[in-house]
Amino acid sequence: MERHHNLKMVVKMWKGIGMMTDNERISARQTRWILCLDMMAVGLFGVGDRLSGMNQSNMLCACLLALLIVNGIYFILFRVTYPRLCRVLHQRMSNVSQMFWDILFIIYYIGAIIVCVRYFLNIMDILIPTHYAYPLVFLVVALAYGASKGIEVRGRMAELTGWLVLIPFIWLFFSGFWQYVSQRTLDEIFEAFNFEMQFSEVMRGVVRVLPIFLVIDQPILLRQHQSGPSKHCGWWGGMLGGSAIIFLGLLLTTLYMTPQGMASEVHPFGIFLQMIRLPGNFISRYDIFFIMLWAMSFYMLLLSLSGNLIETVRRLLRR
Amino acid sequence: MDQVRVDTCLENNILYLKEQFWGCADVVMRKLFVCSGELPIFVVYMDSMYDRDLVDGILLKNLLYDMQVMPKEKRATSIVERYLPTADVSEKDNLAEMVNEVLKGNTALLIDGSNQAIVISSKNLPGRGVSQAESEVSVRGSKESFTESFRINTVLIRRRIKDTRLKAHQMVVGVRSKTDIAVMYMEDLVRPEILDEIVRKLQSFEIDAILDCGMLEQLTEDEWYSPFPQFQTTERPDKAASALLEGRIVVVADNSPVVLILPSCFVCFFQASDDYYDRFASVSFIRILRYISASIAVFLPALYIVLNGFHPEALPLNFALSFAASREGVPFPLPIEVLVMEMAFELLREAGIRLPGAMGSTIGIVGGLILGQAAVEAHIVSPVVVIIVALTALSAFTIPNDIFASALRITKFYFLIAASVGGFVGLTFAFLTVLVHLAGLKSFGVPYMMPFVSADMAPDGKWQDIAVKMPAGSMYQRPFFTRKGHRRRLRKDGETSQS
Repeated sequence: MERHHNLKMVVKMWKGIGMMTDNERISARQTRWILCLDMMAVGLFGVGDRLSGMNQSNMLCACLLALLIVNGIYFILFRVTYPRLCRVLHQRMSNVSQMFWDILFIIYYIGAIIVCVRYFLNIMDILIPTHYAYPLVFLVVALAYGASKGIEVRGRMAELTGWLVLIPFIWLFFSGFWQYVSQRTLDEIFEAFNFEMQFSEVMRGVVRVLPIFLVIDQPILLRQHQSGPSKHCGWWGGMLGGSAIIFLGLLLTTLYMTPQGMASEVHPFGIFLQMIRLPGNFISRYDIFFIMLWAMSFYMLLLSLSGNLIETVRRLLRR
Repeated sequence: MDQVRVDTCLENNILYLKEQFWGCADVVMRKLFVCSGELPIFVVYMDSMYDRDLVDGILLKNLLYDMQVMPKEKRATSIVERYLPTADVSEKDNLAEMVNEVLKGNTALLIDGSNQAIVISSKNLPGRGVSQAESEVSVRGSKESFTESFRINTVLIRRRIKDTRLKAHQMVVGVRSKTDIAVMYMEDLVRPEILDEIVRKLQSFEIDAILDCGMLEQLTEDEWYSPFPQFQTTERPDKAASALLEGRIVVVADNSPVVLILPSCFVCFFQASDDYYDRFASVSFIRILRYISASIAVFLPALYIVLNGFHPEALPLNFALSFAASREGVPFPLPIEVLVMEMAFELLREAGIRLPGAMGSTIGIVGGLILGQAAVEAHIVSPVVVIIVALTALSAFTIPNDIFASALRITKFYFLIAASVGGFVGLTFAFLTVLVHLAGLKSFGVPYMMPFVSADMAPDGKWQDIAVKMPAGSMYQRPFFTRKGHRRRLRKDGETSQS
């Protein structure tokens, strides 16, 4: 009871006086989609980029271990730390300390947005052959419109884009596996796979992968918009779904491109997308469609970051 | 409203009325003498707005020839009780109110020595009768449509729901037009907060005149800048009745042949009346077709520009070569070519609507066939673009709601411009802005994209009437508009109706 009361009080405190919109709550389902899309945004291209150059076993193990750690951190933040942290924030922090935390968050968000936008533009530059004049302008316009809408709209937006992004990727992975298996015998598949694993190499991979998940929307800030108990906050569905997609993406990329091929590319997952052929063959190359679908999930990530940035700045200005 | 009391001196009342109606050539006012010529009375009505048979044939005849004795007090009540052969009579002690009633087509009677005016409901306004629905044609269902008459419209709904729980909250909106508005709802099904909200909004403004439902829509919607309608409009009484039975609210306005339905969601605009009378398999097929055609109507021209102009590598070689060959000799860049053709089609469409029936279809033939062919032969546009534009137009026409189809057309141009400037990136982010807009849109508190979003708010059976429409025998639940606890609409085999 007391814990629930604290949650409510902290929600009130963190929101400040008067929200930027009347949107204050998201459901577990919406949280799930936000987290899943955030994971896909940072991991689909990012994990392959960071791990290229390693052999398959090390790469996949490093990916699995990193995802496990990220999931564990989120579990701790969502289920264990959150109520305690709320109590600390609410009861013990002075106004100056709260301002300090707000400033810290603002710096974090600005940094994260800059890193994300640079990464997005880099992928656009390298993977899309046509020269686009103003991709940044379109991104900024869409962000400016979306970021002012508040958390509830972001939640609904995640629900809308979630299936839209996820279903094509599931279809892609299914077709990718089918295409790979149907063209090879079992012996060829095993021959192509390198089973040698080195612990130090795996740990190096984990260390390289973990920082990319730092830009994911903070669980604390997402959790504050939920009113249900922690066990129903929906974190695990989103995190595990996103992790599965990332792992499958990396697995297929290693199968299609081999570690040597991956090492020679800046964004191996983008090259893998060019290699996939879906049934029907109505379209000869699907990469542009899938890059745009990934861009949608990336937009959701940027929307969360910029939305939280605006929220924090407003809160700071009100103090 | 002015508070001008009815005077016991008839001459004072006549003076007021003559002053009020000065210059109104369409008013009929006459002083008569009843009770063997001893008692003066004054009759007022608007010419050609009254029921001649009732007023001249029965009412005045009774007063002039049958009335012999008149008590000294409560004269108005005595006339009402003994000489007026209609139940719809009221007494007013305010002359301004009486004038308003006369302007509605009623007949007013003033009696010397009485401080009450009698208002007799004798409206017989000119107007067309109930005719066939034109914009929402039904193959199997009722053919009736709403008319401009307020009362006929409410009657057409009442005829379909003979239940005292169907309520009509009536009000007058418009300082000068004094338009009758009825907010109709099912007392036990409607969400009270939505009902309060619409009544509050209707009472929140003062305006000269409400000439159509469309004006009410604009004055009460939250997101005025959105191209997407937040109200559903219909000219079909069966659709309005069906909406009421789902817990939604119907707003009927005088002089409007359509009614407003609220709240309305994205999915509502894909539902047609016939869907509920036809076999579920064919309806589901048509529904899916509508969703696909809506996507085509919005995306096809933009996708053509993106794939042909920015990413030909995504197309199979033969396809790409065929597109390129068809553009040979066309002097315009691809986006301009598509935009010109789309604008030409919009012109044809607008001209077709404004012209009388036969000429409208002629314009369609001239525009569609001759102009299109001539443009291709003159190498102004490529044949593929003509096909794309025709397919887009055809797809837009499958949307049952014209206002929603217009919103899709506007969105199509937005996507087209974004795709022309920014290729696939532009199109993707333009799509995302529309998606954010739709995600943020609410119709009277109900998220516009229900049940695709906020599905936790929706009850069981939320998917029964979306892309696939379940058979009537399986649709047990009312949709998410209905008040909680009253969502069961179908019971079988003697199930009790607790809710």
